[in-house]
Amino acid sequence: MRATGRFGSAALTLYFWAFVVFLISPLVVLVVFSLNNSTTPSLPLSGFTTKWFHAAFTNGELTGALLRSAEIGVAASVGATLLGIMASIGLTAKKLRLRSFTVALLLLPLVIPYISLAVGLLILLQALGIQTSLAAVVLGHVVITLPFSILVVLPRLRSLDPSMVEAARDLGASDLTAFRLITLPLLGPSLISSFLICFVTSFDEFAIANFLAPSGTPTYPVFLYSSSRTPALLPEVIAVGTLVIAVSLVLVLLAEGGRQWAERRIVGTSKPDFDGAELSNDLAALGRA
Amino acid sequence: MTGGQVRLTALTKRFGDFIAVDGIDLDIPAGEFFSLLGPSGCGKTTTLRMIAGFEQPTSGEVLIDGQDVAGTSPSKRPVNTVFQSYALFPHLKIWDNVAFGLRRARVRGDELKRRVDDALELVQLGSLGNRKPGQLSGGQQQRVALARALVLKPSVLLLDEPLGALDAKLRRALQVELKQLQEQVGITFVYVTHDQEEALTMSDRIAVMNGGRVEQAAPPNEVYDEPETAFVADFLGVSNLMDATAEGADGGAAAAVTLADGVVLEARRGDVHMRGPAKVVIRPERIRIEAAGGTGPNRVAGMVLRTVYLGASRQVFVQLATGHSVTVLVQNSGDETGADTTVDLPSGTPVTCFLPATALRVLS
Amino acid sequence: MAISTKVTAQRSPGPGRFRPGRGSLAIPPLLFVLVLLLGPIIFIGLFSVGLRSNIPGASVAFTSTNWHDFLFSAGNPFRKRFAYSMEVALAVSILTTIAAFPLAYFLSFVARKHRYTYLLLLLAPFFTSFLLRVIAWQIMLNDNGVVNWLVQAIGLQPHGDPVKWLIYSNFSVGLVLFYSWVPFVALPIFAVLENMDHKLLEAASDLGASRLATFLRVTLPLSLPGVIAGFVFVLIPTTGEFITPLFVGGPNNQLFGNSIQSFFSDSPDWNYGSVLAVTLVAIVLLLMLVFGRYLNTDLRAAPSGGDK
Ligand SMILES: Nc1ncnc2c1ncn2[C@@H]1O[C@H](COP(=O)(O)OP(=O)(O)OP(=O)(O)O)[C@@H](O)[C@H]1O
Ligand SMILES: [Mg+2]
Repeated sequence: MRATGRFGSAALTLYFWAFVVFLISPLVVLVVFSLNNSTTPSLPLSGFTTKWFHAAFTNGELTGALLRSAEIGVAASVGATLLGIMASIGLTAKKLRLRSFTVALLLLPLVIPYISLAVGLLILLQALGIQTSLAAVVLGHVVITLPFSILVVLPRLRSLDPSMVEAARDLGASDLTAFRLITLPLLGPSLISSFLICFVTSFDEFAIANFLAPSGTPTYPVFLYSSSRTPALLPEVIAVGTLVIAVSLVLVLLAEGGRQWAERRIVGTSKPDFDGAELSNDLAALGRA
Repeated sequence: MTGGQVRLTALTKRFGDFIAVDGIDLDIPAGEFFSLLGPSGCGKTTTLRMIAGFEQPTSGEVLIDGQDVAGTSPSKRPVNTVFQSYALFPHLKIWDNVAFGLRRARVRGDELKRRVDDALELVQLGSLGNRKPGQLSGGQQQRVALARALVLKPSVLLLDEPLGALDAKLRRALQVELKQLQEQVGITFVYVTHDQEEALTMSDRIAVMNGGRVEQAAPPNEVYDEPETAFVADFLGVSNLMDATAEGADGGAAAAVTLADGVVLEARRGDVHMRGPAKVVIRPERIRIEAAGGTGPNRVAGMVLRTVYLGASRQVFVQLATGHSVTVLVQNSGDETGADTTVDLPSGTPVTCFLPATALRVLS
Repeated sequence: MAISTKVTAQRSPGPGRFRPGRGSLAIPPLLFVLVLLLGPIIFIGLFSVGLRSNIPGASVAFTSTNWHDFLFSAGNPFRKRFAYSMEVALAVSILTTIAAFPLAYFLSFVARKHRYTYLLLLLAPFFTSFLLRVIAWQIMLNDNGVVNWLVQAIGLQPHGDPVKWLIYSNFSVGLVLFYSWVPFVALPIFAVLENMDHKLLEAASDLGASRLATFLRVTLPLSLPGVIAGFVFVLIPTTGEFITPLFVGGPNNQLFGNSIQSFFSDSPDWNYGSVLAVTLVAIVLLLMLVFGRYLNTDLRAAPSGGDK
């Protein structure tokens, strides 16, 4: 006897697919209106055009904001991943004083509301007499993405056979060489996941960027917010949004492909085809996105 | 490369309150195949790790060729390790795994190639250099681990249950191979195992460990025939271990031991001078079964419980009148004297067991 | 072979030589978080009691006036906003959890074979910009939006008379929050269902229990940790939410986070804003104290063979 009857199964299947439609519909709407020849995104459709894409890419403010966010995202994800590796190695030490405290503190950014952190960082900068800057945004983003990096890297590090590093040392490698030649390559796949998750989070972050990005140099989300109050800009925003969505989905697939490639390089055998299990696991690490 | 003498003096390792290794003294001459044998958790790996340098002794010394190596990092010791899990680097090809240590020692070019190829040849893996560890069988991986360590020409090779993960058949084949290899390269092997048969067949000497201490360190035949403690006797599979009371030797070479009320045996081996509660052991092949009712010194009445045929011999389980039960190994060659033991020993047969004084050991 | 390192004879028990343990690698990230996470929190604390000020030349001295006003003054609008926010967060958390359970159940029990691919389908939209998705909802829900057009096209509503409560309402804020969180609630529930012994459930059925009874007496109770984890997954971030109301909420649907934001942008009274910001942090930490143990991240454990 199955856990679910035939009728139950059918109802659940229907429910699931209805939900998928519900989840995807906003994305579809964006795509459709990005190609709609009208200044207002409303039905009925008024014809096909690609002019919004042209307009968007000649809009220096918009492309500038995109580029800025990409740069910040790269800087933050590199920073967070580096710190995440260090923290993960630290946490795998057999003896660690204040282990619980360390873990709690490193994961605390997961629960502190971004808005409180954002205004706190604003105050901190002011107190230290530092101007708001994009560098400050990067630092803020490193703080909030660091736990994601740890949640992805640490389990991977735990799964490595510790005698591998000992073997390297036994064969004459210094601690640093053992790390560079053995640990780091074996962490590879999880580093890709870490970069991706941190980048996506930073790219999309609004609260901190809103307070710390100087007014002349908004990040993409900040630009989105300000332009959403200007109806004339909406079609361009939608057009670029469509591209951003496409790029992020491609990025996810590329990262998953890269992760599997790295995994194959390690094992030397081909793995069974894509099942998304690993990626879903990494995603599970995301308490919030 | 010469050298490879290892000396441990009062070597101790504590983990918190727990004493994993408790004051070990061992002297392993260069070129010896030395085994650490003992049950799980007795401190074998910890001892090995202190020699390799992965663990710092709480007290005591590790001397390699007379030098105290405390504070010398694992990478600087003339010692290499074959790990139980092999610890091969999964992302590197076999060839690069073996070349790893040489490259760290800045060996380059032709010499690198020659030495790696030689090492792979030595373990008969010459053709597999291009594979990744994940594409090899367990036995092959084991050989890679061996080649990777040996290529550095260490004076001591440490092996932590190197065959533990293999099936019995492969294990036996590799035991022979490993022993040959050791003789060929002539360096000291310190070999950890909890398999007594493995230790007995391969080693020049064996240290039997228990609870962080060495119970006995001696050549295999000595450990087997003349166990110094009840633990060693038991661990090496001497099935006839009997509780008794030692009465001492009274100046002579033979001790009197009381098995039960009125049954006093003479024992000439072991700690014959001790008194009080003791164990006496005798190997199964040294007990002789005689016809029931036989009298004389060191004879105890008994009854056959069951008999198991082992081909060339029979294993006979006898319940002694003293309450002890013993196993007796009877050869099937047919020239035993006295009784009809050559014919049959069905369950329930009353017999007399002769336990020769020269085969009885008294242990504390 | 000679050993190059000559070691001094004098030795004391204990580690032979000082080596900074690998644990010390955790120090830089720890300091980073201390400075850039605890630092800001300490500073909003100082601001909330008037020990610092953003107005140059203003006198700074300890004062609990702002706290007193927020906590005790009759009809304080921010306290009301806070209560409203908590109601929204709670309602959204409950609804998302209820909606997510069947999704997780479907993945684990019906979609057995391709469940990870399906899970990915559920999660894929969340790799795309959250702000864009909120903007998309704004486009769909506004008076000239897709939903209103559809509603009028099928005659549920007369032409030119859009459904007003679709946007800038409790409904729109709740819907978008619900939309954003359901997949993430499904994750922990899916995880416990996966770890459950499916044979056990079949055994229960074989023992004569009806499917409904099996579900109610076995599956549901066993999946409770995942359900609670999912619930907390939503509750904590929605407590501090402010982006969604910014886009699809009206003046009456702004949340507590929006109040904080406005104190630091529109009317810069950082001291009062800090009172609210501290309150938010305190509430979230309180929620973590209560529910934290259900979010078992398994990071606390020492590596095997570790210090005992
Ligand atoms: N890092 C450690 N911290 C605490 N206790 C340890 C540590 N390493 C080993 N021990 C303990 O020390 C004892 C001896 O361990 P060891 O690994 O040396 O045993 P072993 O003889 O190799 O056993 P096995 O045959 O199971 O490998 C065990 O009880 C073990 O639990
Ligand atoms: Mg061991």
